[in-house]
Amino acid sequence: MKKELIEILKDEQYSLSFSISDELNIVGKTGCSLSQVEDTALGQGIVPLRYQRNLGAISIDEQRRLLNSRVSVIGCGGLGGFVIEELARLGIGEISAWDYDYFQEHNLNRQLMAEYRLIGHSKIEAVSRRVRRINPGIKFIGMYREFDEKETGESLKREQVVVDALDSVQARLELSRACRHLGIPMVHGAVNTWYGQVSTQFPGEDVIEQIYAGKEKYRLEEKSVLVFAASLVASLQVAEVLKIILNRGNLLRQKIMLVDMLSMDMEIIDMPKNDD
Amino acid sequence: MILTVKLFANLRQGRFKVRDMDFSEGTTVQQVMEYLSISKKEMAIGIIFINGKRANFDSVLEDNDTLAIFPPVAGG
Repeated sequence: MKKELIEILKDEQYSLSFSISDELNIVGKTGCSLSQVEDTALGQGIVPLRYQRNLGAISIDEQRRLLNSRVSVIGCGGLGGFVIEELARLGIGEISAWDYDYFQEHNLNRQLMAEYRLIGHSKIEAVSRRVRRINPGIKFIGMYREFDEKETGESLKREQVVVDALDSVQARLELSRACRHLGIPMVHGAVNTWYGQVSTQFPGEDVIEQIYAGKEKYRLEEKSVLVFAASLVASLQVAEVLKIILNRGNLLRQKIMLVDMLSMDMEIIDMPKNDD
Repeated sequence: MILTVKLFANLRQGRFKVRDMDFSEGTTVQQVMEYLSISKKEMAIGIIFINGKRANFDSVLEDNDTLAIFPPVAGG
């Protein structure tokens, strides 16, 4: 099958332009999946057109690595919607997303996937549809449920990176424990009003506990979040995910980046491990 | 004694970003917060650093210390 694919990719000289309709033609001819076609093409140095403008920032090999990677996003609200959109556009091959909730009218101010006509509809369904429309080459798995360390933690074990787009302290601490147990890096983001924070925690590290431990019962009184706070923090999270997968650049490990969009400043605070 | 007090996020509203302030010897973090009218509730899950090291409400400050106070950020 792979040989046949390589032959087709050679014969038709797709190296100048390899569009989604070319890809779908090959899928039709060979019965291969879109991701198989793309993986083989990238292996031959042929870049699908929709990834062309990723190149330069990343290499063809790195684009292929993204195609073969798996990322899970926990929560599809303000942060999660933007995170998933960006992961899909980057070309992360497999994205799973968790949320049990339905769109409400007060989500419209900041949640990318929220639309007036989708009020009362499942967030996961909206996200799934959006991902298909942006990038049909991606495998999307929607989990219609709340994240819970005991019941569902194990189902993250195949993930390469987990994104914390949750809105409760308790759930974040549970996710942190699950990721540590499974040996998976976790990219944390949180927002309130004009402010946000981002951090990356690898197994064996403890930033999430340093920030939130002992505060499980905390409930946000101020539920206000402005859309640019959500989209900025989500983008910073996605940049961390990309660098983890590609093993490049600098990560916010044992650090927290605080962003203040009212004063327009950003600060990175060192959070050395507690036992250091 | 002179302390450098740094505030973050919404704690800056109606206050300041960074300021050198004069307090008497033996002042605790909580006393500085009271002086600045920052309630314990407002700081429910916040983080406190003195000279870049984690501290708590009862930590005692010394001359030339930098006290940094971060409020809770937990939405998603």
